Amino acid sequence: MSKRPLKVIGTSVTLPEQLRRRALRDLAYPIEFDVLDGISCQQRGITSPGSFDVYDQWFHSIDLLWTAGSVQPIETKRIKRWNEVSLHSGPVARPSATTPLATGGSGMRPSDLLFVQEDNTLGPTPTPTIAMLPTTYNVDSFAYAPDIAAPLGFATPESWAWLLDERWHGRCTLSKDPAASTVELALAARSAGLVDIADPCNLSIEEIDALFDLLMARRRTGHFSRFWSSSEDSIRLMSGPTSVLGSLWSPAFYALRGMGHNLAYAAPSEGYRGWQSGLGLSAALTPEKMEMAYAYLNWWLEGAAGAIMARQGYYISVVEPVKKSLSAAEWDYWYGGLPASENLPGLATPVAVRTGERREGGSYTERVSRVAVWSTIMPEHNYLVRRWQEFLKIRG
Amino acid sequence: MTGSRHSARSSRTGPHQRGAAASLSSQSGAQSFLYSSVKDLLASKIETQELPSGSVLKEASIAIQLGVSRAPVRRALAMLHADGFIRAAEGQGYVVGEAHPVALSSRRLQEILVAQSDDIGRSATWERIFAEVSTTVMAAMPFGTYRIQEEELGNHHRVSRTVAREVLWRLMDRRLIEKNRKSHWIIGQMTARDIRETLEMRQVLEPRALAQVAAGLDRVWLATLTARIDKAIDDFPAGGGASLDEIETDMFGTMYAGLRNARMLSSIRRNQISLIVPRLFRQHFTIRDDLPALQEYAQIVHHLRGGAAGVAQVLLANHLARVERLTLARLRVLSALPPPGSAPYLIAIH
Repeated sequence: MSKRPLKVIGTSVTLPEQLRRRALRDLAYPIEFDVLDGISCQQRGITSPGSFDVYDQWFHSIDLLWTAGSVQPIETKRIKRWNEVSLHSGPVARPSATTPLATGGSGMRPSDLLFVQEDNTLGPTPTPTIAMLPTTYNVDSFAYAPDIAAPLGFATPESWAWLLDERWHGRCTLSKDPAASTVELALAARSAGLVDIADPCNLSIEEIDALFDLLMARRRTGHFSRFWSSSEDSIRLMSGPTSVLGSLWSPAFYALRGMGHNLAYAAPSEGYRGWQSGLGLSAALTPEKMEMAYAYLNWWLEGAAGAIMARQGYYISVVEPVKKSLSAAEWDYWYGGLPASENLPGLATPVAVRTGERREGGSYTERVSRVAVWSTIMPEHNYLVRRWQEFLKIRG
Repeated sequence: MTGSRHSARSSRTGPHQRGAAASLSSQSGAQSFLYSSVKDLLASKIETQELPSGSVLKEASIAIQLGVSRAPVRRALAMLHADGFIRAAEGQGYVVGEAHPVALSSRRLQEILVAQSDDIGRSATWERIFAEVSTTVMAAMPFGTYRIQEEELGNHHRVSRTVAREVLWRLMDRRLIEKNRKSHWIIGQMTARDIRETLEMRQVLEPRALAQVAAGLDRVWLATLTARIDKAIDDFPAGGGASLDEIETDMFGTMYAGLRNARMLSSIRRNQISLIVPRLFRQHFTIRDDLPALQEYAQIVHHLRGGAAGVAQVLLANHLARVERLTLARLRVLSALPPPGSAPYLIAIH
């Protein structure tokens, strides 16, 4: 093995301190972690494959990295637990083995980008190589302060339309990632009856323009507070007085809960935004580091990483070893959707979940079966991104 | 002889059809434009019989008289040969028409070509600008909507506003820019829909065009093209993106230059924006996925050389159908690039 460290880039939600320490302890070689915000990480992934060995990021971004040629195929025969890997849509190595959990949801499904096809495109048909190893995943929505929502007249079930509801004027925050935020806002605009949208994950030019006309106007009148670029950033925003409603990743939600903030996580009536995370191998990865890289990929599926991910609300593609790494109470809360039988630890705080609390949306089977949209690089992504950048530049 | 078939068209080809090669070529825009001017000049001199039948035309002496490099002259001569204006001389150069070869003194050649070549001098001005401006415009297209300021464009290139306007009208003719309701010149942002729709048009138009020009294509030119494609395949991917750009300029630009149906030709050129995406993509990213295209080009040219135009047509249609997915995927990747350093005459609208 190489004496030079394995270089891993990712974001703070899949590379929290606990995971980095555990990886360094379990794997007998040096690893250099570079923890970036989501957009910067994706950008590095696309444009500088020479700057990393392993890319740990949103699965949908593989659409861009693969075409850009910055990652190389992963041989599934070198993934020990490959036969146990499942996506939201069910086991991937043996597609017919069980009934898929979630086949619904519009947009870019991870399984559609998984296998390297004969013509070097990505597709769902199993082949010996994949573009990215599926690891952690979740279904996302937004969080809000229930004691502010109730007097304003909001009641459950929540709706994505809340994001654009003017009663939250000046206090709504969103992620800076257009692949997630635009589908959320498209769902919101459609549910609120503000813009006619056929498919929130495949917007036409006219739909994008109509949506952004609305968003720009909202931004100018100060509907949105600020946009966040990382989980930590979102925690700062939501723990201050300016933001009381916003799309939020579950690590930030449980960190805020652990800090004592009274926040609720929505189970929107329209369904969740699903996403998958994964690991890719740099196209510039040298043969001498290949073994280290595969060892790192395999380590992710051995249980320890999955347990760390679970304590911030994330699921993982290989479940069985995680079950052994979590306490029964943890498993029942995070995966089973049962009320917490005791106080449960979080990653950021000693207690993230208190006895008696129940996860919104229920068990992981229930939650993932309610995916309405996937984080998506849609066909008009380039057009959308330019509008999005223009939108972010406006001062609210 | 093919000359009679093409000469009528050649005499009335406007500058509209000159630009394809240049507009597709970022490296040698002005240069690849020049061949068309040289060709038109020589063709007009042949048609007016100022260059009489039997005149021997040599690349080097023409290049010296016109003050241009040999490459555009070589290309102009090859095209005149393909059009039947001139025939290959035994030994070096070409001979006009059917008559016995007569060498021209350099002074005589100068009188014929240079005495009235204001034409080429004048047109070369806007043409040189056209190549550069169209490259700038195309490079901006994926990144947003821009307004072009006519006066700034003229100032930037030190030409009159009339010349600047001439360039802009020609860009509009190519559908690279449009005039909005306020009569501003606008570069519209390229969309996935534009790519899909223009590729659909290309699938209708280009195989037909190929069938029409197939018989008149210059054998030497085709042989050279084959050699370049084969070399790009052999060297792949070390040959880099520039050689691919040049091959595509010939496959989809020069290839149709002899098309008699001027309307079809201008429609083709208006629908070739899908060629802009790989060109920009290859400046920043891998050419890994371009190998199948090169192999398809090799097959198309192979069948053209073998006289199987029908097969070449089908292969071209298949190629155009296949590249849609790749072109759209590459357009999505361009979202990761910042807008290019803007020219002083461009204003970003959004």
